[in-house]
Amino acid sequence: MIIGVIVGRLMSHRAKLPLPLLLSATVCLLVCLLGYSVGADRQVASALPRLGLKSIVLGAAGTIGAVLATFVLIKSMRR
Amino acid sequence: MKGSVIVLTCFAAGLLAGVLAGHSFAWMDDASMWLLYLLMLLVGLGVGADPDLPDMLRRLTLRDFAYPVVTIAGTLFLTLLASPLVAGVSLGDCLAINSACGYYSLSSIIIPQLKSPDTGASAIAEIGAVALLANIVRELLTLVFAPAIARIFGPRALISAAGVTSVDVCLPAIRRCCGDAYTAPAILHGTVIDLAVPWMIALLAA
Repeated sequence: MIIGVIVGRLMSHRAKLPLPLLLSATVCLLVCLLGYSVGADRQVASALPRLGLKSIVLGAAGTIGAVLATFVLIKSMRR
Repeated sequence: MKGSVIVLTCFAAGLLAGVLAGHSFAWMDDASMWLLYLLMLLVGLGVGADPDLPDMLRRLTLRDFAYPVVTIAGTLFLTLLASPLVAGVSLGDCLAINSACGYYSLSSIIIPQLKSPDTGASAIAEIGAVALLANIVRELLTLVFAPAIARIFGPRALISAAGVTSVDVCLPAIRRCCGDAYTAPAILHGTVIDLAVPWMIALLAA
């Protein structure tokens, strides 16, 4: 990443890479490979309905925690 | 939203291919690692090529750094409370998964690779899948509830909800719901979390 930042600064006025496209393609490939590894494992594939619920609980907890912490900080700074 | 749908589609396509094939290949682990290196390089190129980077760095104040810290602290605190509800995933793994703050690609690749082989291939793949899905859930919740979060809890809370995606996927929603004045704080917030996520995951998942 640090190499990328340095190269990005040096090249910022020169060649323009289609970074959003490259990032999306890389992420899609990574995620596709992950999906394959999950699907190829029969035990995990059969447990996906259970994993979905866990994921929703974790995702919601992280989101609500961040929102409430910032809300409390803003309120305390205004007092 | 479109990005999340594409990612979900790629995951589903890979999943389907894996189910149909019924076996994995050894080269896939190496390919994932090299793709991850490429991803980090591309993220660095994007940050470095931003023409506003010098101005953004000059305007930094301690308060600007406090918001990402509060986002991470709030995320981890509620994850700590919710972890008993997530059967089969250890507290450390719950914290590592949510410390990604929405960085689903990175977390779903790094966390499984940091697990000891003794954990078992199935358990490792399961943790990777939960990391991916939980962080996609965060992004979707933020996008869907952006107007309500901004109205009830304020613009800074919406930026916090977005986590690392406040710099990319959720930025249009933040601008729409909070105004252009919150563009720079959102970019800074996402960038700071972006840089912190690999370290936090490594610390919590190891």
